[in-house]
Amino acid sequence: MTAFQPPGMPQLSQQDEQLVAYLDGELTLPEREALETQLMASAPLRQRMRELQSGWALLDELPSTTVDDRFTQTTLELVAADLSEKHPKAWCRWGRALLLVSLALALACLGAVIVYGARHARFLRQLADLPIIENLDAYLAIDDLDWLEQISRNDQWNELIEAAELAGAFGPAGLPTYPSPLTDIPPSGVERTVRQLDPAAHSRLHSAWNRFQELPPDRQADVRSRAARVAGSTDPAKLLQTLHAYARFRSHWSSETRGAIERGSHDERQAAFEQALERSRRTWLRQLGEEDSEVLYGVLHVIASDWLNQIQRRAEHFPGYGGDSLRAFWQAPVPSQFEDREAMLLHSVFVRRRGMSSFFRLNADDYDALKAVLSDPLREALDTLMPHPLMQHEVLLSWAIESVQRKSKVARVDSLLALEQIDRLEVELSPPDEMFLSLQRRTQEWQRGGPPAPRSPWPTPNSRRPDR
Amino acid sequence: MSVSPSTAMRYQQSDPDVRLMLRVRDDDVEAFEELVQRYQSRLIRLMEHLGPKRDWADDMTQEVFLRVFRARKSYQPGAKFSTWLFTIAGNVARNATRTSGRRQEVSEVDTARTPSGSQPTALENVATDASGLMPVRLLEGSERAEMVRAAVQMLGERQREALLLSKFENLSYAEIADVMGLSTKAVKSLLSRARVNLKEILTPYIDQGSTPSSASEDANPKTLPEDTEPPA
Repeated sequence: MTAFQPPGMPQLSQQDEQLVAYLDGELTLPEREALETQLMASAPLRQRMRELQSGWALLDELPSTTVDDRFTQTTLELVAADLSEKHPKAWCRWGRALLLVSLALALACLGAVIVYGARHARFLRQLADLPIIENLDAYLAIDDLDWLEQISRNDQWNELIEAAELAGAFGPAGLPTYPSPLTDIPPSGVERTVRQLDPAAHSRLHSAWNRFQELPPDRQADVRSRAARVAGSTDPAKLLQTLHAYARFRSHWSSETRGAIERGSHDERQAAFEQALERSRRTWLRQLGEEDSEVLYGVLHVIASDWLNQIQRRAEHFPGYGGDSLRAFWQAPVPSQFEDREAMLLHSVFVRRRGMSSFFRLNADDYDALKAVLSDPLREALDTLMPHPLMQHEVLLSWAIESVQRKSKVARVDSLLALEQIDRLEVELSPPDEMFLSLQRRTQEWQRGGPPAPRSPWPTPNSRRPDR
Repeated sequence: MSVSPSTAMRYQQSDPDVRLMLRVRDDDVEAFEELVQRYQSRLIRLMEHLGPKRDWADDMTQEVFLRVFRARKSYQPGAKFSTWLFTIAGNVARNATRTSGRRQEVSEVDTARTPSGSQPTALENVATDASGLMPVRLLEGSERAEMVRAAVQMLGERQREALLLSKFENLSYAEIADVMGLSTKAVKSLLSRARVNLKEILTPYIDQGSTPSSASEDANPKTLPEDTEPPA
């Protein structure tokens, strides 16, 4: 027996367990027979069994339980009450859950409406800002709107802007037109209009939009205020054109010029502005379109042909008076980088000597011919911006140089393509500032390495120039 | 707990109470009323002895029936209905005892427990007050019943439960083991201890008419210990 036995309590023997199980009828038949044999043989065992039985028998003295007549009824009522309590609780719980879900949904809807409203308001604000953003650079460049409005009413200024635009001073796109496609259209149409813009205009608008968004709110408000003032002026189109032109010119001015214009007195400002415009004229006229460049080169080619005829006649009429060297020049082979002898001569005169050759110079007729083939807008711009003939000659000479240079660049590409692959690679991998020198060197080496070529009779800066 | 269909069918066929309970599961109130009527007196008697207080017996019995009704939808006939019912009753009684114990602990903070509060002393008071120091065997029936009730209350909780299920519900050792969640061997030992303890408590009253404390001071502890399950 391993169970805990309290002190003072009789030791519970296996025999007692068997006796109790016997009295409870829980012994198997063999166990019962074995115990009955022992009982018959042992008087103390029988006595022990009687003792255990007597205590057990006393339990019969316990009174039988009396149940209240209403017990069943009250139990059923209790159950019914429990059921009726549970249902409302369940309903309460479901109702509360439903209420919470409804509340959450309502809050979500409210949040969605607020977010949508805020986004829509921001979208409308953006739509309203688009016409402003289109002219962002102009509005940002304003330092004195009254003064610029005064300038915008000056006819000379307006002619100047027109000429500059014709000369390409404001780039291929020119100055923005007013009103723009985005002005004065309903918000519903703005989105469609933006989609219909050409890619370049769309890209410009997108860039301006990003820059506008990066401005601090007070600066944005300032831009909107300026836009409103421009829109409210007597001639918004001219004023806006002036603002755009001013912003473009201003970006090329030095800080000293800007300071004199923005902070000087009225006279100082006027003087600095005129001076800056005068400098700008030359800059604008440096812009030369491809078509004008081509026609100029065509005229120059005719002029070069005339020059070569002069050389030939001189060599024939003045033998022994430099005639031999002129004949040798005339008869020398044309390097492959030039398409003909005229191109070779033009390159020497306008690229190497920058038009300053003492033997080959453009005369007044040549300049007139060059001017005559220019496109009408460029010629008008030239007349407007450079009215003096000598100044026009200066500009035309620079255009002639530019035109021949462009042809030479094409010739350089041809020279590069004519090289062996390994030499071409070496030229292409040269640092940018050494690339043309490397190309020239490689071309000369390549030409020397080929069939023996006569020494180039072409006049170089160090060689004797043919006399006129 | 999953019950095989064959087992469920066996109990459904052999135990009419199982069939009643299956009707209760289908919300048959009349079947439930019949079950209440069948078991109410037996449960009240069980609760009078198992519960912490006699006058709680009705409430505890109703609590048992309430639990039965609440659990009706999940009822599976895996055993005799009475086995399931007495298992619930045992749980209710143990919960009530724990609740009562906690309440008593709280009340003891303010009120010192008197010597008469202990069960052996109560038993002694019952004997002396009722008989004027006469032997128990000479007591009237109701007084003897009170003496036996006090003796039963002195048993440990599990001994008492096993004794009541065996004596009054005529459950076999195996059924008692099912109700109490013990092995059959443990129930055998538990009941043997209960009989021996009961005999030891009541012998002085039966033979000498003296109180247990004077007749067998060593053999009658103030509180009988709970049994320990023997090794299987």
